[in-house]
Amino acid sequence: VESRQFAAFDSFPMSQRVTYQFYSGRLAVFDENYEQARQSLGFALAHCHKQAKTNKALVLKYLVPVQLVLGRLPALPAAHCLQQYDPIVAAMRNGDVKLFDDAMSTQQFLFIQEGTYLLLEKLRHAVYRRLLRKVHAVHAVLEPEKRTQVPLAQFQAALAIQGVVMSLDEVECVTANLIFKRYVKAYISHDRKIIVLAKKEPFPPLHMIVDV
Amino acid sequence: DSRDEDPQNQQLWEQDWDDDNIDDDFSQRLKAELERQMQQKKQEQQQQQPAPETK
Repeated sequence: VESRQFAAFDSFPMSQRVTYQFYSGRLAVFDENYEQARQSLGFALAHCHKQAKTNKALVLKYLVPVQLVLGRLPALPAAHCLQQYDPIVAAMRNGDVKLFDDAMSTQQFLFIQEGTYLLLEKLRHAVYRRLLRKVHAVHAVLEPEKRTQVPLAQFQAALAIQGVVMSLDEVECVTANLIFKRYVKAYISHDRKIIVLAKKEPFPPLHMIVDV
Repeated sequence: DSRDEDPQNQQLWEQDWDDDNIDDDFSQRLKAELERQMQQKKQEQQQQQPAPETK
């Protein structure tokens, strides 16, 4: 469609362009090409007929998880609200691992049926990252001179407050994964049981992490 | 036709939510818990230190 031999994309009726972009976007999700998916699905939503409510909801069903993966939360008017994502969005915002786990398990079959489960599961790291960021912010107030050195026990305590019981080894494992996947710029001091965060931008924006 | 599109669709996303604000309930609870842990640690350290010798 994008080749020069093909008729110009703009020459097609808007309804066909919207349909094409919707399916391109869904394909891009499967290819883990999230920025492309955001653009295609965004086009489909922006140019969808204002009365085609079912189609809008259909676009949002895939666009919302894509935007979440890229670090953008929906601020949707009530008419568009996809309630199944409410707890996921709240979990992202608050770094609430328990809420995320519960929402994913209670709505597992719905998400699998809708083909969004694997995409949403990618948000788990973002939720852990958010929680670690909160722990770091609180720790920085309590111990400003050691602000970059966050004890793993503090991350463990934050999880315990939410009702997630984890051993210190598990906490270390979660943190190591966050570092490996570039959600957090830090290293772990295994002997001292602390995470040493980078002084500059220890929590890169989510769209920078996923895009690379 | 662009007149058939919904202008609301353009302002749907919030980008500046990922801040270091600790005014929320959870952060306050966390702060209280971490303060408690630090206090406990200090007490344990004090107990472990031998009492100064008296001549």
